[in-house]
Amino acid sequence: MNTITNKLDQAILATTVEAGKYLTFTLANEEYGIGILKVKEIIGMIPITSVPKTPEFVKGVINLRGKVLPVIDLRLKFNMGEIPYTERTCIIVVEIDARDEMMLVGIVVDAVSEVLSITKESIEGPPAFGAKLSTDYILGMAKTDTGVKILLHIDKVLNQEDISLVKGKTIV
Amino acid sequence: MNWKQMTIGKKIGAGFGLVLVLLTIVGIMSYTGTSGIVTNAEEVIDGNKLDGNLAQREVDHLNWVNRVNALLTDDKITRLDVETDDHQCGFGKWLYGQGRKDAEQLVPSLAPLLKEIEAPHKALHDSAIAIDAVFKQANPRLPTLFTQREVDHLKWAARIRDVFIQKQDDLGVQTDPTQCALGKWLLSDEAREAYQNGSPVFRQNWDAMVETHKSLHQSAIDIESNLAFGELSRLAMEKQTLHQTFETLSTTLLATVATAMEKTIDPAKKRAEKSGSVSTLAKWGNIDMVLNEKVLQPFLQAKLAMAGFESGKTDDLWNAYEKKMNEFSNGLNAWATLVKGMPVLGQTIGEFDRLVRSWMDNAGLYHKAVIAERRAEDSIALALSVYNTATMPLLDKTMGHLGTLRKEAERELEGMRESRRIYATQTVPALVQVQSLLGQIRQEARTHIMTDDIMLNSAKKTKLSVVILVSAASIVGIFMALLISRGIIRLLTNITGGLGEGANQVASAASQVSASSQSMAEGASQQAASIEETSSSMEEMSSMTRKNAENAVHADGLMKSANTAVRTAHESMGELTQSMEDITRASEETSKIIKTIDEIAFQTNLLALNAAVEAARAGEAGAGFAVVADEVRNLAMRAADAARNTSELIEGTIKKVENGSRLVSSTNDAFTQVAESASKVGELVAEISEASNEQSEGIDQVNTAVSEMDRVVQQNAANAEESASASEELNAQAEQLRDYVGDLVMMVTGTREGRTEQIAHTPSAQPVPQVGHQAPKKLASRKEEVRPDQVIPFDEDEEFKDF
Repeated sequence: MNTITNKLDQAILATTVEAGKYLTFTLANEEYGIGILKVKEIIGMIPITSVPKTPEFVKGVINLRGKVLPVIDLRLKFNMGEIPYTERTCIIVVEIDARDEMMLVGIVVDAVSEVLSITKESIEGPPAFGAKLSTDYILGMAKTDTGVKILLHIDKVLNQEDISLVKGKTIV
Repeated sequence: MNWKQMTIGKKIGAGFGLVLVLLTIVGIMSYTGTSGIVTNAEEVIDGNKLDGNLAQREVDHLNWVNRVNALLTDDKITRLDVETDDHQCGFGKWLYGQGRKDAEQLVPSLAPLLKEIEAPHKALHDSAIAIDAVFKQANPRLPTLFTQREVDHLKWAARIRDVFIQKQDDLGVQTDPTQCALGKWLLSDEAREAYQNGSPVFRQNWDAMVETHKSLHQSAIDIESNLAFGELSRLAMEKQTLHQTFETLSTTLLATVATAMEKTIDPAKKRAEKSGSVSTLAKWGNIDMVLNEKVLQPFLQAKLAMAGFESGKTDDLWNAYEKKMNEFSNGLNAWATLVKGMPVLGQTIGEFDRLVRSWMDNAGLYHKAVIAERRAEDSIALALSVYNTATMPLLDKTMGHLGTLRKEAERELEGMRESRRIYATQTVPALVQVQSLLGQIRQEARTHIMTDDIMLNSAKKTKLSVVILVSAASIVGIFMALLISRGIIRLLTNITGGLGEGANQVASAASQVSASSQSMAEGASQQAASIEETSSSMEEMSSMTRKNAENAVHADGLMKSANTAVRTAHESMGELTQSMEDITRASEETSKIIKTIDEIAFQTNLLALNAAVEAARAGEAGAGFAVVADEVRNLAMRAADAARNTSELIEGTIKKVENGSRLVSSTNDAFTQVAESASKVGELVAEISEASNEQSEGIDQVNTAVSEMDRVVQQNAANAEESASASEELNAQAEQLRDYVGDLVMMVTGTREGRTEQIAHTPSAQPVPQVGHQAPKKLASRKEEVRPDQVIPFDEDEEFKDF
């Protein structure tokens, strides 16, 4: 039943992955991309107010021009190990579908690279590592001149529990 | 023995030495003996002195205690006039001074005893201090004396009281305050002393007592002057007599009146009655009445008034009596007028007149007596009042003062008793202890100090030993003299033999010397030639050395200039280092600016990306804007790249500058080393220069020495020639020596021929005194050669070794 659902999702994904513009960023020397329409804003590193009793990857909240947003460290979320923030470290503010609501969440990445136009032909589906490993947070793999970029399905990166965890904090 | 091998000098020396040694021993013996005697005598004197001294100290302390005792027993001594400091008394000065050290040196065993005596001796003197502190000279008789004087004065007062009782005029007591027992005593020396020794309270009481005592006696005088008991009794007697006279007169008068009444008036009245002559009757009646009323009545009243006066003794009463008496007198006159012309009563009138006159006289006397009596009584009353108001209080006061004085005296006696107690409990035991210790010390001193007999014995011993030694020394001296003279004669005999032989050998040796002197002269001239050559080469060497020195000085100067150059280089290096540091600093500044540019580029990039996002969101409308954003982003990237490149370039520059500065510092070190080496080289060159100079001087000295040598060699050549001729002379001298030997043999043995012939065939030589001087000199110079063969016999060599 589950596999069927997965396959269905893959199919949907294949249709939903669109050619277009992606914002690419670096995380542990790897390039990732997020659909540009998901991105609300890119800001440099600003002080993050840590919130108690939250998972480790939730770094806390920031004040963005009067709005308080939760901030998630993608490195920690992806279990890549924490590194100290540098002057290149940025926060990408993204819009996430939380059921029927839209909510803004800050993602801490190592560095922001560029806005890339990716054609449909250069996108491939996510690799299949087996049934046990869920790859539904990956939209696909974009082949570019400088290498393969992993296109993230940012809505899936944060699962429902995570969203419910941070949701209370930010109402868009 | 080896006596025979000894030289004459040694033999004589040994002999005289032995005698001298003996003499010295005798001298030392006598000296030590005499010093011993002197020391002993000193010791004996010191010992006797010490003994005498100690005895004197013992006597001193007995005297001292006597004086303390005298203070306690003799009233005349009131102050403790003894030494109370145990360091200052005769014995104390000796004990804590040089005397004791001398004594301890003389008899060391005295030290503990002397130490032991310190405590009792101190106790002895301390007891004196204690006695002095508590002692107060007081007369022990004073309390008794005061008590006696109290009793005396009580008796004295009782006597005065008795006078009043016994009604005597004479007090029979001493009224002069200076003549009573107390008064006399007060004037005595004892009293004066007691007063002087007394305490202030005592003196105060004393003064008050003297004053009250004086007043007391004065009161007695007052009493005595007022006493009139004798007068009183005399007046009583007189009064008695007058009273009787009064009685007689009264009786006579009354009898006269009665007679006149009975014999004259009554018969006259009766006659008148009979005759009936009224006038006569009236006349006589009048006479009778007047006699009764004006004469008899006033007289009786006067007598009554007199009796009143007798008892009252007042002037009023006397006046009353006189009034009555006048009345009586007037009455009598009136009556006399009445009876005038009456011959029968004329006799009565005359009788009356006589009686009245007697009465009046008597009354006058009586009046005087009564007045006197009254005065006497007043006087006695005054005396009594003096006794009661003055004498008794004064007596009380005097008694009080005397009592206080007695108590004071007794209190002062306490000090004496305390002193006696201290004397008995402290002074006497301490004295006994001091005396017994002094006795022990003396005993100890006597047993350890040399007596006169011992000294005499040791002196005798010294004398005896000196005599024995002197005689022994004399014998040894004589023996030695004999021995030496014999030895010398034998020795001289042997020497003369040897001398003859020696003279022969000298002659042959002289010719040999002559030959060798010739060859020596030749050698000397050759030597002189080679020295000449040496001298010239030395001069060359000297000039070379001098040049060396000059060069060295030059090198030194060069080194100094090199040193200066190096120092300048060193300074320039320092400046270079400074400018390199400045470059580094400037690069760091630039680096900061680059960083800022990089920051701006990053921010621009972010803005460009945001713009791209916004353009994307705008869709078709933002397509143009997206292009602009991309361009802006490109510019930002380029700016960032340029900044990164510049930054790398600057870092490279900084690294190169650091390398440069490292090089500069190592170069600097190298320059420093160069400078040090240069200065060292300079020093070395200076040393070389100095050494060269010294060398040059040394060569000069060598030159001088060589020329000196040259001179000496020349001299040697001349001397060799001279010695050749001298050896010829020597030969001749040897011949003459033989003659002298002959003379010597003559002197020793007395025979010229015998001994001389044996040694050599010398012609007879005259004993010339002038040449005699030379003989011993030559003998001494040749002695070494001769002696081993001739003088010392080989068979006695063994014994010599033993020696």
